[in-house]
Amino acid sequence: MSDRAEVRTEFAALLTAGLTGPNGPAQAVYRYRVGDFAGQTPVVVLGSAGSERKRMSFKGHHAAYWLDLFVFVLYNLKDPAGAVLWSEQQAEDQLDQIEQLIGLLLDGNQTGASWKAIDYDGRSQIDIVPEGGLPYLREFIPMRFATF
Amino acid sequence: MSLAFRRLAKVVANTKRAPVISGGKRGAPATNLIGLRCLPLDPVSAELAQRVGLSTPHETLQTAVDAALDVKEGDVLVVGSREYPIRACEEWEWRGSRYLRLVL
Repeated sequence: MSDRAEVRTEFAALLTAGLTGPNGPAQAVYRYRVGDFAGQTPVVVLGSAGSERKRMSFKGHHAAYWLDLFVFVLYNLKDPAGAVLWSEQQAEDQLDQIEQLIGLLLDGNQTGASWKAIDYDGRSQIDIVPEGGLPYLREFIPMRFATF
Repeated sequence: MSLAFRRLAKVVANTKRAPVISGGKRGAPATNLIGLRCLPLDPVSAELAQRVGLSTPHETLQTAVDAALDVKEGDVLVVGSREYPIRACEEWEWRGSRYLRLVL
């Protein structure tokens, strides 16, 4: 029987390799819903979102897994004197850059060791949320993985 | 800080602050203040709260420190081995002295 954790772990490793490091735009990738990211930015979070196991025969089934992908980018930051250290425009540009790189990762990894197909499960959504006392732009990207 | 507040502020804590943004990134926080005194951490509500961003649950706590300290929203309060993100930082006046109420 296939395992949703394997899919999530493998896809998180792809995100880490593609988005972090000296040349990547993200500071950290978490393969679980982390309790707090302590002011870091940008942060990518991947969490399990559901499964469907359609019965195909008496002995087997067709499993599909949904994962929720979140991208958090600090929305703005000022010093105590009011000088802008990080602007809303920079945040928006950075979020768009990361979303594009995630799209390229999907295109280049349609099959993986633990999935046979990968796709978006609808459009992504963007809003602004507080995290640990700071405002973040958040993009929610629903994803579907087929294993058969 | 008033003498009464000083007597009540028995908890010793440190704070952490994330570094400045460099190359569009901001890394893990590092120690900023050491040995500050705060009121005991008390619950704000009996109910668990949920973060807006990821819907993860957390207990909301509150404490207070001297208003002269360099503490702000986004910092992390460290008490013993536990770390608490400072979600809100409000300046209040109490009996002629000013302090910061921290929501964790």
